[in-house]
Amino acid sequence: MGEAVSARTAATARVTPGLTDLTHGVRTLGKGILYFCLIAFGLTFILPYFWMVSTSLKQTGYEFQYPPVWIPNPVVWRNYVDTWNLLPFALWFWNTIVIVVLSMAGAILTASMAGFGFARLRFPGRGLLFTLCLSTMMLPSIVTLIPKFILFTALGWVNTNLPLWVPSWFGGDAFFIFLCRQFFLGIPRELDEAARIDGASSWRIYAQIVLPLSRPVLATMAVFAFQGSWNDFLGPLIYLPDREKMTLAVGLNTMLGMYQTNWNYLMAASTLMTLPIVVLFFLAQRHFVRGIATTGLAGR
Amino acid sequence: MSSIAAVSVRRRAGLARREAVDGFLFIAPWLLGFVLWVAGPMLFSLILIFMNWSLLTPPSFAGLENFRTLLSDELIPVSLYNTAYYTFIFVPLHVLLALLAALALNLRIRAVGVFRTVYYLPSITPTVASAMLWLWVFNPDFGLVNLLLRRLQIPSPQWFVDPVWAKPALIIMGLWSLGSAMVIFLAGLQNIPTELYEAASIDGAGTWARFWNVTLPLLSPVIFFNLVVGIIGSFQVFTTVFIVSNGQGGPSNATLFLVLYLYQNGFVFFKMGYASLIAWMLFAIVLIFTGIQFLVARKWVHYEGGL
Amino acid sequence: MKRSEQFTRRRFIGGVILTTVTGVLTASCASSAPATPSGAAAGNQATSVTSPSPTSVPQAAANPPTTGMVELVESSWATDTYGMSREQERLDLFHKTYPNSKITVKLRNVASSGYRQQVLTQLAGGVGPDVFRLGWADVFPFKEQGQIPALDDKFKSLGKDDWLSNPDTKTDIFDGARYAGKLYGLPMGGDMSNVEVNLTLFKEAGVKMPPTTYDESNWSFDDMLELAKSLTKRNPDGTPIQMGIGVDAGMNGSGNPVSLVETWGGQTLSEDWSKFLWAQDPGPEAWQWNADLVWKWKVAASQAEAQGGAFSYNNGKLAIFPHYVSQLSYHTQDVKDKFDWDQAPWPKQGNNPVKVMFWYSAWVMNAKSKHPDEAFQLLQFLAGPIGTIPGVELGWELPLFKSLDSRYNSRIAALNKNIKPAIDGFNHRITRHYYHQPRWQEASTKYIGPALDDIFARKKTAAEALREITPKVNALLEEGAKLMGTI
Repeated sequence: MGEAVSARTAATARVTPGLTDLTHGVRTLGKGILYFCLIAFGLTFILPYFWMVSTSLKQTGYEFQYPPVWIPNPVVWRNYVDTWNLLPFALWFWNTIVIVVLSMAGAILTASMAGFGFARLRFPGRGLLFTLCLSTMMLPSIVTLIPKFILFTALGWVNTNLPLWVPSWFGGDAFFIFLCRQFFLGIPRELDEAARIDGASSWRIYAQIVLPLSRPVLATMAVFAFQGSWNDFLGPLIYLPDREKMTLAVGLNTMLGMYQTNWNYLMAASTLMTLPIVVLFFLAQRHFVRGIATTGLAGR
Repeated sequence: MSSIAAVSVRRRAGLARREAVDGFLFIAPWLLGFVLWVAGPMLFSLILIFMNWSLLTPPSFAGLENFRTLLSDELIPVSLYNTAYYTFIFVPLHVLLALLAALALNLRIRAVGVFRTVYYLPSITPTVASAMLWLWVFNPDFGLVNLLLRRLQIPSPQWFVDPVWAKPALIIMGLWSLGSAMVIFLAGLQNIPTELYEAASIDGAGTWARFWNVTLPLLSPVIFFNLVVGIIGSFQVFTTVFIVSNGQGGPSNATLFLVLYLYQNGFVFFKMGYASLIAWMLFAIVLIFTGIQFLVARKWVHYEGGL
Repeated sequence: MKRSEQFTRRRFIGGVILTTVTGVLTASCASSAPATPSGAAAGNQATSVTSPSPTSVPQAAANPPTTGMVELVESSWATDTYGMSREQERLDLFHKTYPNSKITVKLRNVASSGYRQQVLTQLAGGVGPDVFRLGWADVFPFKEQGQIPALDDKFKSLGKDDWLSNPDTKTDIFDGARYAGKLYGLPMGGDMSNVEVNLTLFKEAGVKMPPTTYDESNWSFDDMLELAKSLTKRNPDGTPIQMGIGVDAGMNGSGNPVSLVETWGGQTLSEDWSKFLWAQDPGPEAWQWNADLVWKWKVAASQAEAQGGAFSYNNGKLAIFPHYVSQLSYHTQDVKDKFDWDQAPWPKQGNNPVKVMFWYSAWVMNAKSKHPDEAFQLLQFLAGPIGTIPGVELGWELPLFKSLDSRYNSRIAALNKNIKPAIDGFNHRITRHYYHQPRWQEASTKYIGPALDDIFARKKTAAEALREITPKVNALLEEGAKLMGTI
């Protein structure tokens, strides 16, 4: 009864011309304010990048002037050529890509598996094991650094990239497992109940029902996993000390001198290093667009 | 009748057993990894809290000496206070702002991809670069923040140099990289079935009603996730403080956070046993807070599966 | 359900295993593929920085024997281009000096922020570098833990090549790393307090030029203050345009705080190393003078104003800067000819003798090195009369040998800079090595540094702040003195 009434009210509202105009006006104004806020905040958010790029184009010795110079004069594009020639950039890029791809793949697969197990399957000790899993996020990693290093030394893995991606194949990161679990909990259970009645196994439900519905979270995880190992500093620092095995993040850090740093080169290198993630993110964020667009909060 | 029931019970038991086996298989990679790379090192550090260990010589048994040091160490309350101050102001603001940003960037607007990328940028700028930028932004004399404040006739603080304002400056700096939480919220918003909004609209629910009755409850597991992860993360905040204070925790120990103090003890003062004790203390504190959050969550977090 | 469609556990696990195997293969190919198109060109870059590794020996015809080669790993925190070029020059000299040596050296340099952690981790894991650089306060703890061996006997075994007992050597400088009569480290990059001056700004303001040598030096801290007043420029609203003087009060490596207090006639530590004496006169007076530069006279940038490097010396906005002599060498890179950079002697106070702190970091060797003889050969070379030539000529490290005095700063002598304050400073150096005190660093980080922050933030007067921390510092120093065996 109530439903019918409200549906009728909605229908009436739609045919009342004055009201539509008014809401339309409010909506346009709202949109205007929204765009204004988005752009205003967006500017503060883009500031670091702008500053980074601007510094990368300044003359050596003129990086920190007072008052601050935002648009360099002259613009020194050569810094990028110099930076590229100064450092084994291509080699470091390749080293990084190998680690990033391998650990990303491992983390997405095994973390989503564990997340599915914790969210959807009942087994004895599940609560306890999940608590254990969560608790591994709470001990500062810096204390387990030395024991881990000793372990990997004993395995003979130091000076190889194995310590940097093999662990990702074992559940990735507790953070990812927790993330997947939370999302899988939000997917209606009726879907897998129905599949189960059709005789589908847990494996099938995982691979063909839950995963396809979880594209947003998988994309999120991919971005985080990529970002994490792309920017990882401490791991490559202690496990890959040799210059020819370094990753970009560590290589970048070698540009910092104790007393003297060529900030323009450092910023050029930072810009080059950030670009791939910006591109990746720009591509991945498409997966966050869907659904709500038709009926979402913006209205029709 | 009874035999049919028995069969179904047996079948259900069989299904349950199969589910349990599958469950273990699904978590097997993690479990194996936990045993291999996590449990061992954690146990090792747990043993260390009863040891004196300088990293380079074999540990020697110290009994409860580290505990006594902890109780009398006046920098422990200082760093605990700093860490709590940061966490309890930062995390709620962080989650709220990330949620607002995600809601706005989930709307049908032009160039949404560009906006999202821009809002995400601070999270991926290499720390060296962003730390340098923030030192500029917060420069008390010609930094952007104070230029603005002065124009608005608001007294401008000394930020990173003033023990009172150093932590707020760090909080603002942290808020600025809300990208990760925002992305998680965006993914969460996408998981809300469109039909629910349609149904609500047919019921005559306006934008606000849909937000309160559909979006918020269905997003609650994700809000909960961001809160838990945010608290865990901000209790362990290290890198930015390390860079901004040059590893010293200054000015006047105002940015001496627990993990920074732990780092100093372990890697600068060669007291790894004591550092491990601080780590386990931190671990216990975070565990308690997370436990409380899980308890409270039952009251407000809505799970689809819980029906 | 058709069987072929069924997604079974076995299929799933099979898939995972396949993916893993592919991954591992890719990885192992990647790590053993020097011929990757992107890696090849850059690979040369990398090896040009390190010295020839055993695999690339054929091209290094000077070292024909490929068998019996010994690869040593050397670590330091010089990672910037300028720093790396100095290290490389030193290694080239090594290979020139020992053309038949079977040693190849691999540089494993890490930027200073991650250096300590990396070296400690690798040493703890048993894969530490053979020869490495340590901060001045770390020699004692590393020696206490048996991580670095005493070097005296090794020097004696050199016979006629033992330069340590040569009269040419300024032996007492080496005593900084001597504990209970034994030497554990060799000085690297010796450094000393000085005053950097921007002569361009001096000329612009038309003020009296700073003195050039200690002998004719008649300037005091108060003269410096007067100069700073005429060299400071501010906008009407007080925002700075140019600063007269800079404050170097960090407890992080620089010895200037010690130079300040001791030149004012104060003392830093008691004879038995167990008492901290800055709270006694005239310590508080010296620190208050330093803080007054910022707040009372407004001739120095507060730490706030200095943030972001706007008034750093190399920006040309700072006229006088109590700093250290090695920095001259960096100005050939970061200032060049933007302005006329130079140095002046450390000022005096009243009738007290000028006292300047002399400090350095240390070259040490790993006690667990697999090649101890070779490691020592490299170590003694790096700090010896030949190995230090590049650093001395660049003015980056002070000469440890009398015969090198004349070569000090020779590469920038052409630029017409005043090098006398660095050479003469030796005669005024503080001979006590404070880094001998094993708890000095911990006390500095935990208490002295924050107290100086308080003084410079006007939270406390120098007297209050120093008095407050003295008992806490003393508690740590007593621990240290017990380790040293002096109390």
